[in-house]
Amino acid sequence: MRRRPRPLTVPRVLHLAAGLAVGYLLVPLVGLVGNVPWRELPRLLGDPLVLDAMRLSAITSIGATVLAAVLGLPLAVVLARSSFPGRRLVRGLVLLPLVLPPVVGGAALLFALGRGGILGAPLYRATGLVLPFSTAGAVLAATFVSLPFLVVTVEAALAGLDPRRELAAATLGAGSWTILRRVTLPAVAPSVASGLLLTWARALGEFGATITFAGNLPGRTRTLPLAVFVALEHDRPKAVALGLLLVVVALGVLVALRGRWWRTS
Amino acid sequence: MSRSWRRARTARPRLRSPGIVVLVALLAACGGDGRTTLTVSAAASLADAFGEIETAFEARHPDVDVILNLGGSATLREQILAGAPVSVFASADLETVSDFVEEGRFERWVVFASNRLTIGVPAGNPAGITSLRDLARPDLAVGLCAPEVPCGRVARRVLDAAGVDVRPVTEELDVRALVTKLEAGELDAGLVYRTDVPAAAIDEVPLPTGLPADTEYVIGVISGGPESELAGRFVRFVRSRDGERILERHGFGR
Amino acid sequence: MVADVVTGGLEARVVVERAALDVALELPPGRTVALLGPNGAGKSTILEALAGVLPLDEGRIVFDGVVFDDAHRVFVPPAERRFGVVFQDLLLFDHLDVVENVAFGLRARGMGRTAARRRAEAWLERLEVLALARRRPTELSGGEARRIALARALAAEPRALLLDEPLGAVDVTGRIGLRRVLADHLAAFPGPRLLITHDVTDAYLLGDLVVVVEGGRVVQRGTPDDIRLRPRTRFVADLAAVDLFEGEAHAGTVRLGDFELTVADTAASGAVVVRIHPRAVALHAERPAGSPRNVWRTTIDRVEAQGDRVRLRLGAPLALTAEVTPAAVATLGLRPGAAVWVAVKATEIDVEAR
Repeated sequence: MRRRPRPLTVPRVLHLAAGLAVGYLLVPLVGLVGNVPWRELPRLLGDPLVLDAMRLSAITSIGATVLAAVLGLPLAVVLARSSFPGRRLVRGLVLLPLVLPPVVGGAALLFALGRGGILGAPLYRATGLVLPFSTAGAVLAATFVSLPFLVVTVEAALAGLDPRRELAAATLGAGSWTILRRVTLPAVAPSVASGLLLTWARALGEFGATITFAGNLPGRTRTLPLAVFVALEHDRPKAVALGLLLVVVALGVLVALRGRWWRTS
Repeated sequence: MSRSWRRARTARPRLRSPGIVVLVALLAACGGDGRTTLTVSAAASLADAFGEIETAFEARHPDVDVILNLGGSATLREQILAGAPVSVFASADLETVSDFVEEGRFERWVVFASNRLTIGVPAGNPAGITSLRDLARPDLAVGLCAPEVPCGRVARRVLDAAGVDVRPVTEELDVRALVTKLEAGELDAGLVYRTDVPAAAIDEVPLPTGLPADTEYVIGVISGGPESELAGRFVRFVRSRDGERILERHGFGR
Repeated sequence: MVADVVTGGLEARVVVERAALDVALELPPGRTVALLGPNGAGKSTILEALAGVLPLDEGRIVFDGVVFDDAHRVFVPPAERRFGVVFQDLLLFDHLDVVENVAFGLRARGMGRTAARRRAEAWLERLEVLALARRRPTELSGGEARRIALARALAAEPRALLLDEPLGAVDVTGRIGLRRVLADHLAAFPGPRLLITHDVTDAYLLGDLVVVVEGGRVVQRGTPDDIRLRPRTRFVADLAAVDLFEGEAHAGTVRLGDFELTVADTAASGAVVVRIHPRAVALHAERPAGSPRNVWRTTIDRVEAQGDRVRLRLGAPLALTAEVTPAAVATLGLRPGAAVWVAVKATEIDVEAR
């Protein structure tokens, strides 16, 4: 099939720059994959400490996704469907973890939810619960950084939804809960799904806030990214093997999201 | 508060990737004002002392711009192995650079300072720690450095020698991160360097003299690194009376 | 099936500033009020205000003696008004199949899934679309989707019906069947019915009363004949002056009482509506030669000057309206009582099944 000629509307030099960008994204991947010790891979990935980290990453990323859903879905709905003073401010606040260095987020969590923090101190006095250095803390850290992904995705989908459809449901006698459950959420279900997947992926990759807030202890808070970092200090092949694992997971997420989050056409 | 933030930033992960090497090279090339640049990689615990040494050295050599590349010793080591154009490397222990010594990656090297581990506690010592043995108390949140980094290695050596079984709640990858969490009061105790105490909002409970809590800092000129002659002069300055005085003021031993 | 016995009508004064709208409406029970007007007249806004999806800025809505909206203190939300609404863009639920769409109102009011579905299927059958039960709204034609929207509104057991262009965007064949179904269900519905349309035929055939809205104001109200015979604005005159006759079609002719017209549509047969636009009616002093098949002689009943045009009401055998220029009036000596020859081309006569 002959390619149809198209009038050139993009300066040629942009193609060159674009090629450079692609190269810059590709070269590190090639570097990583080129360093993978394929033969040792089963042993490296079967290491009990690595399995510990995988288990922990599964727990924390899924936990963070569930928590983000519980907190984030109502927020997305309220942001998209109600008007209240300070809504723009709240929307900015939601975006903050996206642009904030995760370490700063972790430090902020420490000052808020730590044993001496503004919320953590009363919690500790009342229940003896200490969130830093606990798996729950790792979940909270991952939730903090990944929550925006869910809220932003779902809110955007809701904003693109004709609110008159919900009003039509109201004329049929549906109350607000029925409308939410039977009209609004089903209509944005695909976006909720991709938002949850993105949230999970971000939670899985979380490093900075986790190490700052939850510390680094094998079996309790040392998730896969932390394990990669520790391994880089003394066991480079293991670090590369874990890195490969995370790359494969990330590619899986992208494949699952194709045509939704990014266009395939 | 502001100090904690700065320290939290020092604890930021530094990935040893080709990208970092490029970054270090860019840093090194930044002396665009005609001065010769000298890149010095130094252990994070040397940050304050080497900052002063940098100023003093530059005052003496106006044509030289010293660039400090601070980080965990193991991280810095990996950068150099990956080809970062570093002239001088100051490591927090000899173990980290043992192969540098054996394989001749150091043109010259010397032990130039010593440090000592101490029990760091939040200001006022709220948990009432009096001895190393207290660190085994199950009701305390104790933090150590990870065994993969120098401060963690020394900590385990000390604990083994004392026969104290500590269950840490976290293994920090950088002594500064440990100090931050002590300052925040999230940890009741942690084994940190003596030199970390004065500048931080924490107190210390010194370890008894019998324990192997001392650690030696090694500085060396990288073989085949850029500006090796100038690098040698920098190392000599660190070991000069002026350099030693700065190190002493920051709590380092000789 | 209808839970509440409707005794009262719907009375409203609807003021919506954004749409520059201020109209008063009275919808008696058991009657269909056709709301006629050009695009942008504010017809849909009126419906949305009555349905409760758009609050009033001023005015009030009273249904069966109960205030639904007084623009200040009282606002009864749409779910509690129980009005059956067909929106112009239908707003079917794309993620639900047709049965679930129709059962939605019943289920929202707490009816069990199976019972609601059974009831919905009965409505689909009444509207002759049971075969579409498992389809998604995106898989329906315009006419089919309108029937589903109507079924959805009716199934929810509403106390009033508010229909926005229920025959819009439907092709001619679909339109005929749909109009018949609509006429049947409107007639059977005991509550007030509002039918929005911009088509005078629909207003004439389905409306008991017609309210004409232009530029956010009611410009005329009355029976369809009032509107047709005594138009008060250019828009109404334009629309209403189109003469409508009911007749019987057979093989290219339509019989209107004693009179017979030749039409281009040879396929039409049975009960039809015939539409003739005044501009399609040509007047001549002498019997015209040539092709027109429909030629007859009549007298002029009335002459109405309307700006740059003149409308002439023609007498027996067919009460037609003709539109000519003032110059033609002078040339042909057109005045009440004058005799003229009338010619209407077969191709200018619209025939539509009733």
